[in-house]
Amino acid sequence: MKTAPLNIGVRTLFYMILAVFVVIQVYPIFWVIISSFKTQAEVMSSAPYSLPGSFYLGNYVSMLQNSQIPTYFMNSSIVAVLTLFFTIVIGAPAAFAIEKMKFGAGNQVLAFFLLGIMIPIFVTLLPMFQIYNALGLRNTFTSLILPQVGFNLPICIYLYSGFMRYVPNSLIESAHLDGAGSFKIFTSIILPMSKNTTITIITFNFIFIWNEFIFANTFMTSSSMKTLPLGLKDFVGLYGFTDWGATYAAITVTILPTLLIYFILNKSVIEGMAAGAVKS
Amino acid sequence: MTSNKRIEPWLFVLPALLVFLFTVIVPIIWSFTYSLYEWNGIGDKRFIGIDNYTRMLTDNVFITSFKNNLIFTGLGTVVQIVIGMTMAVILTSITKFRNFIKVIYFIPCVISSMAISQIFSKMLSINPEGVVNATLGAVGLDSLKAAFLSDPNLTLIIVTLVDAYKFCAIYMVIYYAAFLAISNDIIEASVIDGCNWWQQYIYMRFPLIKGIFFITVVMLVSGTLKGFDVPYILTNGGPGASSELVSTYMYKVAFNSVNYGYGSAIAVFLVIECLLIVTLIRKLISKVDVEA
Amino acid sequence: MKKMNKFFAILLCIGMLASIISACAGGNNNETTGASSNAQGGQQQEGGSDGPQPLKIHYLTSKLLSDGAVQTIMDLAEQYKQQVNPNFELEVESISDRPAYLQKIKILASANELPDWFDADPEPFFEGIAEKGLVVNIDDVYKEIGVTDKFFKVSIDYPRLDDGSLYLMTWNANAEYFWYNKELFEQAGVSAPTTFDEFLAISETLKSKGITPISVHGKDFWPLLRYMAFIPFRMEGNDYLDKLRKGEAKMADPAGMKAAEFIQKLGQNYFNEGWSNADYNTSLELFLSGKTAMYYIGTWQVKDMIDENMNLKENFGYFKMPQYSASDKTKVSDFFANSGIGTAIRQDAYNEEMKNFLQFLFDNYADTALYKYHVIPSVQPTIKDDLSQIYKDMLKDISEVETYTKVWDVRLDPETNESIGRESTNLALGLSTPEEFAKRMDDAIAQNAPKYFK
Repeated sequence: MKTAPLNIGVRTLFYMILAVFVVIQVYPIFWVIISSFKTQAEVMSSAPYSLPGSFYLGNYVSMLQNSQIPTYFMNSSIVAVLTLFFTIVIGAPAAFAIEKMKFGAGNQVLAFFLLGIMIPIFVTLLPMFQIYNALGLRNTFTSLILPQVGFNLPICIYLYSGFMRYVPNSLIESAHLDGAGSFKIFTSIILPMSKNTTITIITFNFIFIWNEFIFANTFMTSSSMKTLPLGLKDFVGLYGFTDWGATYAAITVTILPTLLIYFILNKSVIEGMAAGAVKS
Repeated sequence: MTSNKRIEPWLFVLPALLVFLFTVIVPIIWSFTYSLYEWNGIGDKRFIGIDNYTRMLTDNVFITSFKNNLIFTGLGTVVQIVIGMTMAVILTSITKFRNFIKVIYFIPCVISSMAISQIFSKMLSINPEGVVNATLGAVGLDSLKAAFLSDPNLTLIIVTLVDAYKFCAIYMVIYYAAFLAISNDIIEASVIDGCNWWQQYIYMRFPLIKGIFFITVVMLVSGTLKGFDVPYILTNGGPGASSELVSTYMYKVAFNSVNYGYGSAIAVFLVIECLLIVTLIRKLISKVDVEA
Repeated sequence: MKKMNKFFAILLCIGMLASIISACAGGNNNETTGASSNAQGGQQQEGGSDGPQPLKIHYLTSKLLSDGAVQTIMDLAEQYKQQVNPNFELEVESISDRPAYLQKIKILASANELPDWFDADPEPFFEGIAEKGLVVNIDDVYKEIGVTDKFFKVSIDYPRLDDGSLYLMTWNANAEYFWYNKELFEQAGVSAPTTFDEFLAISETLKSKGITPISVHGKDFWPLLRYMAFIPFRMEGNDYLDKLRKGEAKMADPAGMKAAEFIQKLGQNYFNEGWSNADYNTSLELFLSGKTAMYYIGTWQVKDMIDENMNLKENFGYFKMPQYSASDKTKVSDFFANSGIGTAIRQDAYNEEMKNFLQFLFDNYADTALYKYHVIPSVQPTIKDDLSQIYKDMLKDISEVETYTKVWDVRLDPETNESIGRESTNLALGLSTPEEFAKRMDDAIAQNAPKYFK
């Protein structure tokens, strides 16, 4: 890509600005990770910005002994995978119908779904809470998956329909002539073509689902059902005031998997999130 | 055959429609009915009409939280756009480390608000001294040391900035992708026309990504109007009501004061507020768009 | 195309895997119940039908796990398991952040999911729970296991509801004192005050010597509300609060205004920096490490101020709630004494085996709590000769209290409570004037009280 040439001074300035911003963005995370290797004495007495004297793992040991972080991790994974799965399984066909099935009410249905993008989730907390109580659904994965699927559907349908709109109708018509039914066309032609959109939706939503806090805070009370953000909150509530080292270790453990996945998949995560917005 | 054709699309839409209705639309109506009652969750309900709504007008905590929310939204939107845009422009203009910087810069986006808030609460602490105050002390700026999270004049700004910190990289990436998507021909033509770097942005690049810019404004406004996690975790709306947002206040009314009726009324208000403000911005944008 | 199919196949697999896992997780629960009923069956086969029934108690507490009472209960539960019932288990879950704890209990109550045991104060929301018959009448339990007479008066009276009924077990007999750092007092040349005027005067002196006078934490609302309660209690006794909460007395009355001015003066001048966002441990640590001169806390925390022989460390001293004026309605020996937060038992969790455990617990509780964990128990302990002087004094103080100061955040209704927590912080930070504060509180009480106090 061609750009008008920049003189060296401006370029240096740019790199400096970048460096400052990058440091601001990364330092807090770097800081919590290095602090998790400090001994209790170092945490209390040394300057908080200093580096640990040695690679001390005691905080991790005490954190793992005192918490159920592995369970929380498992719970978060289950919720994330199932939520994404159901969002796509019911969102994609809806978008297909709206865009490609000569659907009289298509635009109205799409507009109806789009309303959901603006709805704050707080409005559903109390009614959901009552419904879940009545049905005995609190402290089940369903209680987290269901509302998140509901709230992720609009953006999912929006992105899919944005893509499918540009799939040539002739493609579908010729398939029809070959005798393929709508379902077949959808699963064997449209869905495979939408691969990039699917990846976008998965990465875009994964991060929000993984980090979701309010539903979990309201619906999950049993300690074996907590997700990571909630588990971290409880851990800090219990030990955060007394054992800072273990708290840093707990924070580190909750962010490391996300970071790991991110470093492996960063290309699709970043592009997915950008594409999600730009396409729309 | 024709009736089959007419039903078929509905079959495709139905599962999504049902889930959406059940989890999003029905609860709104449900909340609205709750909002007409006085109810504490374990006792009996009492119908009180619109009293819960008139109460908002005289509830100074609610009014404060509404004002705070507007500041949270306004400041948050501006900060994230400015930082996102600056970063995107610089990133487009440099040649080395582009991808590296993008990846690094994006990290806070993938970390939960819970972890971010916990990190900042430790960093900004005064007793024991957190990293910010310790650094200020170490470089001789003792006068700037403060109990950041206890100062009612600072807390709202801090929660706004922490929230912006977490999300601004998304906007950088969006603008950056938009700049890259601009066709090379246009840019090359401008270079031939003798445009310098700055003119290229003013006359070519900024106008060309206008559409995406407007979308991000809508995204940011609707996102920040619904802000909750950071103020709830970092300051719990305090001290006093200095960093209370409408959403955190609603949560407290519902689950601390166990006033389900009033809590629902605030929730309904939040829905209307979001719909109104976002529609308003859309209208404004399309007006600007048409004029331009 | 092929790639895409593969991608979906993988997605589908992950989805199915996850549902299997979640099904397993669900299945696990069943399995556990299955296992325990098996164990029960096994037990009956081995030990005959007389063997103790398995019992698992889930106890949700607002106290820290390191709290002396909690430690004692856990210790005795372990002993009970070893000596009496191998199938007994006590699972303690702690949420020490009080606002978060109260929020959770309210959520659980309206979800009908109260834990077997949970902590509560005798406040209006809990009264609602008791009225619905969801919790066990503790008077009956105490009678059944024959411990009623062994309790300190305050530990059995404080947790009673307005109508005199008792639904909360208690673990402590607490007295609350101002603790001070003798060294810092000497440095500033001040001594323990007996009146609130002196209290303010020594705070000023300390401050002028560069010493932070008072440690307080604002993350919980109750510490500030203690300061709020002092002057009205001295001026008018508990009458003022009893009337105020029903709207019969006003915050704008002299007692309320004096309290508001007092708090504002303290908050603006004498509290530790950043107090409004400080948590329990921070304020405690500040005092223990000698960074603040005074700290108001109850006897449950005294374990940090004593040496290995349970004597008060040399550097610390304490004094009781000062007097306000010569026309005070309450005596110096009347001050904040309470039982600490109580523990309720869910009605349908209560059974014969739990009663047996309670019998064991209360029979052994007092001495274990005092001599092993250094907290003053709710049940009167054996006073051994070598018990340290400070404990003897504290026990004496507790037994001498005639009128104990009622706690504001327990007496006020939940909505007013939320308001006063926020507004008193505003007041102490100087964000509102005492007049504005009084008006807001009176408005809040007028709005909320009729719902709770009929």
